[in-house]
Amino acid sequence: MTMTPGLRKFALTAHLTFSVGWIGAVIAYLGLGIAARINQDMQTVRAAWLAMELTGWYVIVPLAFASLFTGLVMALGTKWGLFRHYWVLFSLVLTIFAIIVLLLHMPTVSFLAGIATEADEASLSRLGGDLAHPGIGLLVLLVIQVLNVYKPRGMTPYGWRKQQEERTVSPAVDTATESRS
Amino acid sequence: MNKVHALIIEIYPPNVVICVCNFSIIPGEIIMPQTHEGVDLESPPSTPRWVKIFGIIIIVLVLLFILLHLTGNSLGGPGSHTPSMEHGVQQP
Repeated sequence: MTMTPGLRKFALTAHLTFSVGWIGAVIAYLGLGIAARINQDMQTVRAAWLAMELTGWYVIVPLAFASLFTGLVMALGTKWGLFRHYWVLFSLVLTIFAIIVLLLHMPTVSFLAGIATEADEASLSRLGGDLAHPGIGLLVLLVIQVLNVYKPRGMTPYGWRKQQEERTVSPAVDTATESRS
Repeated sequence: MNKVHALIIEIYPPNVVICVCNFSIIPGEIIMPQTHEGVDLESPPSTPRWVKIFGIIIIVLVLLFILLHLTGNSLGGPGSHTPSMEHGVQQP
């Protein structure tokens, strides 16, 4: 099913907003993680962990799912398809991988945020920050973004077969249209 | 003689490709474009090099990530400094 140009532009706008928003939210999360790691002030560390938990559950997770959903809509609603081009396929796999890691990691963040609210000064100073997961996650999201902007050439065997099928069907449709007129 | 080698213009949607291959412009003579010699249009195109390299990198990174988590390493994240044991609480 191919979307109309107006609908396609709307879906593209939504997809760009959610995807870039996801990257921005991860950068903000990373900033909080750095603050929790390097700051000596206990109130700041505690606040950073609480903010990381809230940012994770209420901003990053919804944006991740919204980005995946709008990406699926864009792929299936346009000629690009979901499995026809390698860059789309890689984007899908990396996005799903990032979401799985995010969902597996967020309970740990909640657990540590819970500790941060109750921990004494000595325990809080050992809590540190959360840098590795958001750092690698940000790298993965930037790779996806580069793939989406540059759209490197390369059609999957499935995409090639579908293209061949469409090419063989198209002349038959044209002939049928001409004979009717 | 002016010669244009394989000028390819791609327009959205992706299957609309205008291809001008090896046009030779000689005054008073029209030469038709040459055929795609050596290009087999019946078989699928070979996998691009970037796909192979990218695929290997992704597989290695995913395996490394899974291995690190299975062995209890948390990539130097907060888990390595968790004071959970002091509180007698198990991390999820």
